[in-house]
Amino acid sequence: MALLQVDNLTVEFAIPGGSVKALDNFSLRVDAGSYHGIIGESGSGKSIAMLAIMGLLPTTATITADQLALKGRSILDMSTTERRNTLYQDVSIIFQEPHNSLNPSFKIKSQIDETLKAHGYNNRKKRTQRTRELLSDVGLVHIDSILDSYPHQLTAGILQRIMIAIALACEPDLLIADEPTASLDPFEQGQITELLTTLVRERNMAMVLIAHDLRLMREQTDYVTIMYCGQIVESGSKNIIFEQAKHPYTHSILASEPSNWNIPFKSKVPSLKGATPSLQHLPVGCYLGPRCPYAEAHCVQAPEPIYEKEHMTRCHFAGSIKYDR
Amino acid sequence: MTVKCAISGSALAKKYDDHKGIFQNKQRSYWALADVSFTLMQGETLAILGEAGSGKSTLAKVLTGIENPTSGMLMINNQDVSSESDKNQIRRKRAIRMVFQDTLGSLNPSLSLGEILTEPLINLTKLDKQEQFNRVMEVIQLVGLKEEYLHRLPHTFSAGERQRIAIARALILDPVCIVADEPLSALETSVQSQIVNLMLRLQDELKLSYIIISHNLDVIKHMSDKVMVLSHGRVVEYGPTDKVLNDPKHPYTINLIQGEQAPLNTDGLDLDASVDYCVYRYRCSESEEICKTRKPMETVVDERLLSCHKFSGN
Repeated sequence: MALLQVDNLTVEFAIPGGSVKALDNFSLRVDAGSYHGIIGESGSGKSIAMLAIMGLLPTTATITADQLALKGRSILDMSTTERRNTLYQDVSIIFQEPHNSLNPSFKIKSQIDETLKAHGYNNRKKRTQRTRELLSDVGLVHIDSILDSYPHQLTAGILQRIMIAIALACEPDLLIADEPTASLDPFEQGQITELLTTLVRERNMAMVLIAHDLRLMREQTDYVTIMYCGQIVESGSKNIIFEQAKHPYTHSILASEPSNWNIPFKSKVPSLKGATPSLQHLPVGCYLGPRCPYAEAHCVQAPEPIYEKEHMTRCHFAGSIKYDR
Repeated sequence: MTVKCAISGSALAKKYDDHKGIFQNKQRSYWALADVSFTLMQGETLAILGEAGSGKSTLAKVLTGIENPTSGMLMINNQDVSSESDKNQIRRKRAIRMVFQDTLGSLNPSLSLGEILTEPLINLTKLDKQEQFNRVMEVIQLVGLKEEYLHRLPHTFSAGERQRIAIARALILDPVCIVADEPLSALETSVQSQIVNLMLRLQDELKLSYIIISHNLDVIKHMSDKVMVLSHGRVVEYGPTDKVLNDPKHPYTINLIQGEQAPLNTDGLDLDASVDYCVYRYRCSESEEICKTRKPMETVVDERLLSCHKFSGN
């Protein structure tokens, strides 16, 4: 049984004069201890999918799914108390902005304490001990002064480490990290991702990482999912995605990664033309159609996902396009 | 064709005064920038590398006229513009323009695209309405935006389009040089390469010079001719990109490129330009007695300028 099984998850938002599909038939299977990466531009639905799994979407969203189950129990049918006791015990999420995730008017001490209290640590002494343990696990020093500080007194790097500590407080089986390093400065980014990976591997947790950094994905993950305009365009194991990618979009983002530019100095860099369409004005048929260099007349019909063992591609010409690498 | 010198700075320095105490009576100065010299030819790109707090943004502020240098000389097209007179300020603001990292934060949310682009023309030129309109249209097409976007507000554009607007605003006064402070790091990978292509095309067409502040070494390798590495406001290594990035010599540059930088610690560090020592001595694994007592001389080693005792022959 998979730890998390998501089949055809669709999220729609009501807007004046209709609705907009932020997520279109999203599927994901996370086994215990596996490491997943999700790549996609902003608006591609990657965060929406994670929020839907955690039940954090606003009530204006309509969520439908063939299956959305954690350890075999359906998440959508859970009551709030059930959610707190099962879902939030087993799954933790880290967001992009540590400043916005912590309450500005409480000290760090009480914010970690609050989480532990809500999840059954009733002895105050044990809570204090556990708090210190968690902070040293995430590589922080000067714990006393950190515990006594307010969020605005600490740097983003330290705050993100505290967020990771809070996420680990209940020893979850699955950790979701939604661009955990986007708001940090580049030298801290490396340290935080390294920390996350070691913690996850050490504790044998499963991880879903949303990030833009392709190098990181190549080094750390086991499975990669590529999203575009609310749909999964390609997913599979890391080796398949990075070496035998079949979808033109996957190929284009791999080619546009600066470390893959094998071209003369100051010459034109490979890139997709145009911009990502807004979800309200999606093109007919294949969403990539107008931007795709390989598009043909046939692409005005929406492509169905093609499965080849664990490798999924959503393109009419998957496999028949020859890419020069 | 002879290549003109676009910008040159010699011994640029910027001091900030920090006032402390209840009555703000305890004064402490901090040299954010000391002894920075460089020359930038027309059509050339200079990349500035350094960790947070190394003075990259201060240098950008001094160049673009947001701050005045405490000492040193800044020349634009072989004309001295370092004094604080209004005429020089305007010259600097017209010749060196800036593009920022945060695409939404750098555009006024209540002005439309047309108003954003017209503002520099109203403030810094004497063009009439029709000429302003023509110039705006010209620049909009140059950066690959469409005319019908003219009345849209910044939040209705995508991040990539907003960065194009920021570049258009920088271009509208026909500058000599554009200073770009992390122009790509807030953008997605596919948009990044579009902006890189745009910047390269504009450089080729308009013979623009760029000063790029970036952490992305691959982008720097592709775009810039020279690299300047800053630490605590001092130049530690300055030379051609392929030399500095492929074969770094200064211990600070080596650590920076390998990403193994010890965290910045300014405790006990008196950041005064007049004090004689190497600014990197506390964190340097190879530091010796001389690094604590004498400022390293700038030496030319393998086509680059280095300031480190290891190479200065002392």
